[in-house]
Amino acid sequence: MADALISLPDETLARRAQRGDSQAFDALVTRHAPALLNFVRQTYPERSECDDIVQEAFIAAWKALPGFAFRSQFRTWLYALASRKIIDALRRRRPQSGLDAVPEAVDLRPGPGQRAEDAAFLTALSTELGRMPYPARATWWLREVYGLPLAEIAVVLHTTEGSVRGLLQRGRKRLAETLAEFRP
Amino acid sequence: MSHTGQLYTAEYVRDTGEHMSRAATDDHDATAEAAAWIAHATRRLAGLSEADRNETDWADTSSALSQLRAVISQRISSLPRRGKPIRTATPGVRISHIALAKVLTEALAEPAAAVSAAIADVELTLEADVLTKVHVHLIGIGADPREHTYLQDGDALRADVARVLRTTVGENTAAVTAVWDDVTVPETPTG
Repeated sequence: MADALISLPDETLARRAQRGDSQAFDALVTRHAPALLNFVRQTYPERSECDDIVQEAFIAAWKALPGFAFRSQFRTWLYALASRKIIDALRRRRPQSGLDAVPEAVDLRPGPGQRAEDAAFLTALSTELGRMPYPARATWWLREVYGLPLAEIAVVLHTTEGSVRGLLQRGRKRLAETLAEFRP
Repeated sequence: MSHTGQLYTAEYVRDTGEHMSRAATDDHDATAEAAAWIAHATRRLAGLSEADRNETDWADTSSALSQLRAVISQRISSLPRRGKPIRTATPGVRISHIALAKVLTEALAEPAAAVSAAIADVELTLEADVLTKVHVHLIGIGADPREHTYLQDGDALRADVARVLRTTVGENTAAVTAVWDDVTVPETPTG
């Protein structure tokens, strides 16, 4: 049955997990944890806390599942929970500052496997991404790397599609300007 | 493949699905085009390409994920769901809807496997403490020729549900339905 569980859609697994099926929930964890961990690592500045954020997001999902009405996809809902955990953690780090005023660098420096000629550009890119406020940074990753539709990103970030569109445009403009010297 | 010095190509542009006025669209298109190569580089930075990841990264991430899975599993085991009680034919004896769904899923696993099927889900509907509906979601396994039709196999599994209900809640009038949700064909190992 384990193989069959893996092939079940999120909605079926989530419905089973609503009724306390821990194996179904484990299948959801196995399916979504890798990408979610990547997302958190890409948008939260302290790598040592990222595992905890993902863990808390899944525990929050387990607790809230009985009330989940399937108005959004399970994945979108899960990312929204994780995003809320990230925002809470960012606020704990800088309780006096708003999210828009938190230019903390996320450690996304290129690894040793990346080619030397890319290093300067990729380092500048990761620095600029790290300097973006969380909503803009999260929007950029969710749209450009994960390919989420604007409507889904709006659900994840608890905002409107219009706001997401604005964040994305401003983010693109800012990155294009700050990284202009590297443009081929 | 180097990014610096690499020519921008249209493949980097994602269809954003965004709608706006012509002026705004022009501005948007120019910005999107200007940033397309940055978006492409971001995807590389994200390590989406396996070639960009070194073994240490993979080992770290794999270990973190295994640990996450174990910790989450352990933590949710201490957060059980509260079931809704279902009245049985025996006065004073009730069974929770969670337990009954588990019993049915377990009981149907073997007969389902015998007809190349698996139980995707068992949904129970209650009115107060009375079981009124059982809906079984089935998935077919494999593409081999079947001995019976899906209809016949679904019917046989519904009969199995009725049998299990008789032994767990006693005689009842719950409507039992079954639906084939999907057919999966397991991958055959290569090499």
